[in-house]
Amino acid sequence: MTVCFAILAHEKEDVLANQVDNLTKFVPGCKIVLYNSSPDPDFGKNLNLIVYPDSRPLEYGKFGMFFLEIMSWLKKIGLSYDYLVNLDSDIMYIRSGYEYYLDFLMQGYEAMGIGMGTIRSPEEHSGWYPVQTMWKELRSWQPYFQTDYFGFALNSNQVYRKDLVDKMVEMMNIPVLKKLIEATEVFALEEILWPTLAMKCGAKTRPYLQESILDVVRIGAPLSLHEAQDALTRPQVYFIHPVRRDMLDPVRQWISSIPATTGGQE
Amino acid sequence: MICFVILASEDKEETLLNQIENLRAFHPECKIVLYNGSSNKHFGRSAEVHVCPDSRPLQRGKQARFYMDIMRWLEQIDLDYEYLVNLDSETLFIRSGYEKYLQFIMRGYDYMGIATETISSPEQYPQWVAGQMMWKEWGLWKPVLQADSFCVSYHTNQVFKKSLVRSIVRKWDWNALERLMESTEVPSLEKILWPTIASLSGARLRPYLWESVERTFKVGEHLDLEEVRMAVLRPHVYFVHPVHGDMADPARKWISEIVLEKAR
Repeated sequence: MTVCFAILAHEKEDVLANQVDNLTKFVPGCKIVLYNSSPDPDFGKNLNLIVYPDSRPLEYGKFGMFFLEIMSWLKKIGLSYDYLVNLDSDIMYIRSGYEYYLDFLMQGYEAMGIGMGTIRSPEEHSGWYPVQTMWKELRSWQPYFQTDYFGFALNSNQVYRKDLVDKMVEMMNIPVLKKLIEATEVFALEEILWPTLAMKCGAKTRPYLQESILDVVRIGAPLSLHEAQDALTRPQVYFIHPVRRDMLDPVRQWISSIPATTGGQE
Repeated sequence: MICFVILASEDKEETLLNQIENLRAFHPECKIVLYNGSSNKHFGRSAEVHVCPDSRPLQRGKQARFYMDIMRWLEQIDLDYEYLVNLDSETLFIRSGYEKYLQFIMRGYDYMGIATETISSPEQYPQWVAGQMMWKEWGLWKPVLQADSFCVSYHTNQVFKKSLVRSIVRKWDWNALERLMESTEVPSLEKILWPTIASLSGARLRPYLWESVERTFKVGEHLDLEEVRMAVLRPHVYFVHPVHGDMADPARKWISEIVLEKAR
């Protein structure tokens, strides 16, 4: 099974190189596609990854299109993979076996995300800011979504099977989407847009296991060394977030020293 | 390889045969041991499974010793298996893949049960009768168990890795435990005793995935046909409980049809 990762990055090539090494070590055989959002066209060029050729600097908070562009391009070039996974640049893997985890958990499902689910009324997840902002704008989006609900998942590590990606690309109306994304004020649109497009295609979606995410994936303060080491004692934790984008950071250095385990399966 | 142990306390041969057929269809490689907890000595003879020679009639609610008898006997005959799983006679499987599930989800763990957790004080679940009674009797159990807390799981489908069974059999003073099992008034002690013994034998415990048991494992009312049909639509549901023991029960009949189709 091949995982294709898509990373959006705009600075610190040494940190990106470290992330590429991290992925290659813990998810052997994976493919990595970079969306170069920096003003330097050569950023990431010398690393062991594929640079999306139409990359351009994206305004902060306007990342909605990046993954969709990559999806379309992957279909166009016919890259072979089984799962497409987007990654934040401050995610790091801590153990082998993620591809087996996907094979196992996604039996019967086409997409998975952190907390991935459906929102049908403003009362659901009302404390979550991206969701509040979407309810305000839903009227503009509904003619495109053609649903009376929308999906959500945390931004990083959303997983889409290749067949679903191809279906999503076929159904995408890029000019309309671009216009909506230009005008939107929905915060972290990618947390809603991509899962909703998958659901619009009839995908069966699911969340990651709570035991894989609890206390090890969060928004805000980076994990301490103690927290990262504790994460490694929990068998179903594969990645942690956020890890400081700094090569001198002790957590990043410690993760870089963890050896891969054979095949990731016992 | 899985070794299933069926505890049957009622003399219903036809239902037992149906359950064995169900197990063989979904786990062609498995071993099956019967603990004959009924008062009929010959019960289960037609089933072509191992019958635990230390079986004895067990009353409902007083079945805890069954695992002690089974584990000690399995160690004695040194049966080859990887996971030991006990089954209630009303548990039926609805899809293949349970062994892969165990291999995946028990990576790094030695024991798994339904809703397994640690109970550290009487304030946790004050309405739970068995738990409160265990705290009342704790003065008797504590010197033997040498612990300040206990664990709990539902009774059926507790999973023990073979290395854990070995540690359990070797570690404990079985005479003392047997006396306690005889005298206890804690109902359904097996829900508390075995995860606790596992934990105190050095095992790492975990619960089943909630998505594998939510609404498809119940205590009380039997599952109806619609509930069983819905269960099959959920990819990580492997077994359902309780299915009525009556062979004419629509849910049991429907599951038997899936089994027949698999065999074809």
